[in-house]
This record gives sequence, structure tokens and C-alpha cells, in this order.
Amino acid sequence: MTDSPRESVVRDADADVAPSEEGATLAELRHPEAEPLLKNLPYRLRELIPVAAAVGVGIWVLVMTGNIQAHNRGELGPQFWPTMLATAMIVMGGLLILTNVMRGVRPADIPDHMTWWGISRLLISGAVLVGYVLLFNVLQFWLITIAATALLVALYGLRGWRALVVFPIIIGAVLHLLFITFLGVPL
Amino acid sequence: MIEPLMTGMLPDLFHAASSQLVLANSVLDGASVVLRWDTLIYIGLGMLVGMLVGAFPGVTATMAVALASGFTLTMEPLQGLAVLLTIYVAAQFGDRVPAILINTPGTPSSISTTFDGYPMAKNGQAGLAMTVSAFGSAFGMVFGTILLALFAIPIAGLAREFGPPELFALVVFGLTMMIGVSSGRITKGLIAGMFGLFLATVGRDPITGDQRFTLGILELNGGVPFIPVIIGLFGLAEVLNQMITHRRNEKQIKPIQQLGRWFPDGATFRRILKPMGVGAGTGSVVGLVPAVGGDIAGIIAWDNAKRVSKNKHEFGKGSIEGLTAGDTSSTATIGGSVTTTMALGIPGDSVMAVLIGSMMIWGIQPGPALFANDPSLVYSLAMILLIATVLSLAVSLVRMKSMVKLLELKNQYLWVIILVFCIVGTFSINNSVFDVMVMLIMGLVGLFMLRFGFPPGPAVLGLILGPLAESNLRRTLIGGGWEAFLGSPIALVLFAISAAALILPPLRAMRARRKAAMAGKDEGMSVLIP
Repeated sequence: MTDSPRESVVRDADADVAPSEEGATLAELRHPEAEPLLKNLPYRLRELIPVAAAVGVGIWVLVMTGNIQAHNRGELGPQFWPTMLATAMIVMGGLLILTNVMRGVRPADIPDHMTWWGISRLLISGAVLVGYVLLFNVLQFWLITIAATALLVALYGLRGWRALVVFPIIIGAVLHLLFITFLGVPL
Repeated sequence: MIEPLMTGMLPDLFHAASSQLVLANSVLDGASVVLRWDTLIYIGLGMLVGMLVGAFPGVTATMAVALASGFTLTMEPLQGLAVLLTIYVAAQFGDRVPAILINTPGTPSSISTTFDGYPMAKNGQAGLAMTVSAFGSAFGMVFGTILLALFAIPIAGLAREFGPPELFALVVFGLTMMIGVSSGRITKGLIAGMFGLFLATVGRDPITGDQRFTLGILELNGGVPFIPVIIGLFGLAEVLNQMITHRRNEKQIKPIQQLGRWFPDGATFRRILKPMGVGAGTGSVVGLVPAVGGDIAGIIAWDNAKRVSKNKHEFGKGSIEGLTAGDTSSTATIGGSVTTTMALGIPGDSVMAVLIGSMMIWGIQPGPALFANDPSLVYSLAMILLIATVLSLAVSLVRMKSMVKLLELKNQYLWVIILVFCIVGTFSINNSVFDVMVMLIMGLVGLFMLRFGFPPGPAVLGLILGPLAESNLRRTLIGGGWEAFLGSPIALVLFAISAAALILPPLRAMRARRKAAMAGKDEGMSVLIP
């Protein structure tokens, strides 16, 4: 199962669909597994981050498992399952070094480039959303929804009265009707 | 003469007749609770949302169902199920539109639609491609739903015999199947699954009740709330990823405007019958395998249809047969997915994993006991799927120029809608700011997973199935040690299939790479390996 359609699609809309070859079906040729591994050093070194994450979480869980205050500290007590999982995570982290760092990375695992503008947008969006949540039950829900929506729309570069006024009002009205009027959520 | 009748045939006849009556009663009960005006309104709402979700590339059915689960939790369980299932079904119709008009699948299930749908559109047959695709999708759905109605209760009956070793093996089976199809990312899939299993350990131990990993936070005593985790991983993370990679002057792809002929003629209908059969057969079998979704089923059926077709050369260049087979197959999986999800408690795909999360909050535990206790539920679900299919087909057959316009909507509007829905939907579950914070944190975790190639599906599955896995493993080991697994043929078979699911994909990848390299050589091209 692919979770993001972007990973598996043909990105260029004008690209012709290649006819299948004898012996190698179109599906196989299109499948990400059929693509050769990327062996560039920066790509392979980048894979050390997921390795560190897996091993780090594993070690943290092992340490925290020792702190569990349990009535039964026997072999099959509350520590048994987390210890097993943490050990397996550390082993899998080691396996990632063998597969991705030493052999190479599949092209599908290389994400689109981030932009500085994109990261700024992410941080400002985070601040707007946290502010939005904290103002629940403080100000009128429809009012803060319209304000937050207008701020986000402006942040993402949309301009004009339709984007900055009509769209936020529609969102505010729909959410108010759905959550407060129909579902009775105390917002 | 009367005596043998009384002692032999008559009780058998009476038993058979009463079984038929019970079955008919269950069917009527199940159907009648769906055929209420309020439930039908919710199905209509789900259909609208699903069609829109499918039409927008980048918004997956999983994301939509995760977001919708935020506000359906306050509904009656059946009404909530009606909304979520209908979104899932309708998204399978709506996602064909961008696949055909801009060569971009609306959801992963329509990957195979792009193989022939877009070439057909380029040949001036976009309208025909969309209607044929809708007929194929509807046929697949109906076929899958009939299988659900026929086999869900017998499968649940078999699974009721399972003890702790078999149940643990079943969880391992479900997890490994999902990891095995994670686009070749086996190791990262395993790590994601273990992360989900670890999240499930937060809170009280399922056997002793001791607190674990709560970090002194009161709200974590009951465990990590899974709907916020699901919304964060599937909804927020995808938007954040699009946000950080989107460029200011990025151009939106222009859809094909000329739709051409709309309705298929008799000859076209006759031509698509065979690929419909191939697609329905393939999708039904693939759908029964836990965690394998419509994307894979569509590709397999496309390949199968090509093998049996007299017009192999047309495949990939605008074959109506290839389009029909792929689309029929990807929707035929839904019946199988619902069957394994409800009868075994093992999600058929990532949408079903989200659905299980919602059901558990409603107090419904999917698994072998569900259909045994309430057999009419099977028929309620089947009826919801059928109504959703008929409505989606009807909407798909209306020639709507506005659908083309819809594809020109800027992504930024979608980001805002999804972000606000993530926040308000999560808050509305328990009126809890803590839940919203969990969702935001899991959104960042999900972004990390997306950027570094960890599939989020196994993490959610691990979170949902974690308590079942841990308690059954420990019960098995306390009862009979590791040898208990050797005494269970069902567990051994499930472990063997799980091992194959992890070992075979890397072998298949090697074979596919070798074939791709050979194909490149045959064309006189060099395969670039940086």
C-alpha cells in the first residue's frame, strides 16, 4: 500500500506511457522496486538519521523500561514486551545501516526538496494553529476560525477579497454549523 | 411411516427452515436500520465528501476518513460507519477523474487508471474513459459486497476457534502483510510497526494494570489516544510535507478540457465484460489479504487482463480493457477488506485501520465475536456499501464540466481546510486540548516519517493491534511457553506466510531491477546508476 500517491505517480503529466516490454511488464517497470538504487554518498549518509532515530527510541525505551514500577518483575511482567520491542528496534536500526547506508537508497525514498520559505510557512502555521486552539472557549468560535483561516490563506500567498474574506467566512460558517449546531460540540 | 419422519427428516427440515428464517431476519434487520432517512442523509454527505476527496490529488481516502472520524464519533455508530464507509467508496470513484484528466491519481487506488485512462483522454476519449471507469468501479464494488455478505460470517465463525497463540500469529500476520507491501521499505516498515506497538504500551499494562511510560501525565493513563495519532500521521503530516516543498511559482497542471463521447455503446459494453470479470476476480482475492489495498490490486488486474487480452498491444496506450480491469479490481478489494477487518479484527488496509480506531471508541470491537453476536451488522454494512455505490455511480455518470474546473483549485485552499479540520475534529472527540497537542506532535512525527521513508500505515496498525498482540503473546508464554506455538498448525501457517511476506518483496525487487536493467539494454539505453 502506498500512503502518498505522489510517490508512485508519473510526475510529468505530458509524459507518454511506455509500452510494456516482453518479459518485463509495464507494472514492473513502473514499480519503485524496479528502479536502480542511488549510491551517492550524501543520500546514503542521510539514512543515518533514521538509523539514529530507531536506535535512539530503542535505547530510550530500554532505559524507561527499567523505571517501570511493577508488582510483578518476573520474566513475563510489564517490562517483557517493551524490552522485546526496544531490542528489535535497535536491531532493525543496525539492519538499516547494512541495507540503506552501505548498499544504497531507492529513488522513491528521496523526498522533494524543502524550501526555506516552506519551513518558515510551517513554523508560522504552527504558531497560528496553537494560538487558535488556545483561544477556543475564550472568543467566539466563528470569529477565531475566520481570523485564523484568513491568516493562513494570506500566509500561503493567496490574495484578493474572495480568498481573504469570502473563503474564511464560508469555512467559519460551515464549521460552526457542523460542529456547534449539528454535533453539539462545546466550542 | 410417520415415526421415521418425526425422528429423522422432520427435525432436519425444521432446523434448516429455522436457519433460513434467522438468516432472512438478519438480512431484513440489517437492511432496515440503514434504510432510515437520517442514515441515508449521512450516506449522501459521505458521498459528497468522498467524491471531492478523490478528485483532489494529495488528499487520500485514509486522510479523509481520519479527518471525518473526528466528527463522526459523536454520531450513532451505524450513522458514523455510514459516513466513513461512504467516503471510502465514493473516493474510489472520484479519484479516477484526476487520474484520467491530469495523469495524477486522486488516491493510490487509481494508479492503474493512469496507465490507460490518461492516454485515452489524450486521444479525445476522456468522457468515455470516465464513464467506463465508473461502470467498472461499480461492478467491482457490488461483486466485493456480495462476497462480504456471503463469507464474512463463516470466516468469523472459523476465527472464533482461535486461542492466544493463533490470535498473536494473526496480529503478526496483519502487521507483516502491511509492512510487506510498503513499497519495498521492509526494514523501515518494521521499525514503524514497532514504534506503533510501543505507543500502544503507554498507559496501563493489559494484564497486571501497572502504569508504563506515562511520564507523569494524567491523560496518558488510559493510553495514547489513537484518533489524534491517526489524524496527525495521515492528515496533518501530508499537508505539512506539501507545505514545506511547495514553491511560490509552482504551476498547477492543466487538466484535459475536451471530454469527447460520454456514454459507451453496446460494442464497448461487450468489450469490457471480460476485463470486468478479471478485475472482480483479482480484486476479491487480493482484498482478502490483510493490508493489501486497491493500488496493488489494480496493477495486478491490469497485468492479468493484458495476459488474457487479444489486444495486448493497446495496453498502456489507451486500452479500454486495461482501464476497466484495473478500476474494477481496485474497488472489488473493498468487500474483502471489510470482511477481514470486521471478521478477524485485522485491518484490510490503512482506511480500515482508521475505521477500527473509530469503532473501538464507539465500543464496537471488530473481531470474530462481532458478527457472531450481531449477524445483522454484516448486512447493514453491505447495504451501506451498495447504496454508496449506486449514488457514486449516478453522480459519476452525470456529465459535469465543473469536475474539470475543480482540478484547477489551488492546493493552498485545501491545506487551510485540512489544517482547520484536523484541529477542530480532534478537539471535538473529547473536548480536550491535550488531544490536539498529541495530534500536532504526531503530525511532526508523521512529517519525519514521510521525509525519511517510514510508512505510517504500520505505525497506526501497531498502535491499534498492540494490546491484542502483547496480551495474547504473554498469555501463550505463561500458559505453555514458546512450544505452544509449535502445537498450533494455524499459528505456524500464519507465521510462515508472514515470513514469506517479509522475504519475498526484496527478492522480487532484485528480479524487477534486473528486468528493468535488461529492458534498458535491449533498447540500447544505459541504465544510470549514480
